Amino acid sequence: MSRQERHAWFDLGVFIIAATLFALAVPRVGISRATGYFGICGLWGLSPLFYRKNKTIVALDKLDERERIIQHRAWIIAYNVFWVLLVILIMLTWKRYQGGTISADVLPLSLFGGFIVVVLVRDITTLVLCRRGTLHVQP
Amino acid sequence: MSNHEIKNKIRRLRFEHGEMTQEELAGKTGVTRQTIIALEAQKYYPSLELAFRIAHVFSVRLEDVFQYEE
Repeated sequence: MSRQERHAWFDLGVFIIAATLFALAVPRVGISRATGYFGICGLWGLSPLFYRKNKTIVALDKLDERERIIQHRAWIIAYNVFWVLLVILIMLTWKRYQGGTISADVLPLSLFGGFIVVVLVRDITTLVLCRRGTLHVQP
Repeated sequence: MSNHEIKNKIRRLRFEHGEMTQEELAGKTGVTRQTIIALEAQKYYPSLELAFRIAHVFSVRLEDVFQYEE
């Protein structure tokens, strides 16, 4: 398994744990408080550890040419998906709350939700490209 | 979609050169082992520079490593 795949699986695993704890907590503490479990996604900040070259130095190693293609493509797809979802969310919010007020929770939840969408789509795309190959996306 | 593909003989050349491992070839060409795996499985086409580096490791011409076929 490549370091990009390990990184992607780690991110997905963290999200699954966070989502599971959130789902278990909702009946007891409600949605608003249960969203705190998504703070576990802060573990995504450990991702540079997957790119270590020297055990004594924790630093981002250079990606080789294939890894750069995969990373580039994954970010493009993640950005596109995020943009489409953002437009849909804005249209739905406008239609639902037109002339009214929106709860103050909507903005931070939307931003954090968007961040989660970007990371998940990036990781899934990375895994697909690592398995399928990159011939169809190479220039 | 293109009707051409680039085939390679990297696996055979590795075995002909002292049974070089994928890890060793990756180290000599400056890429990861997964990239060598993808090259041998023809899931990835190398850049020109990487292609030359691979040919240089095996001390052969580029055409002896990679073949452009319809």
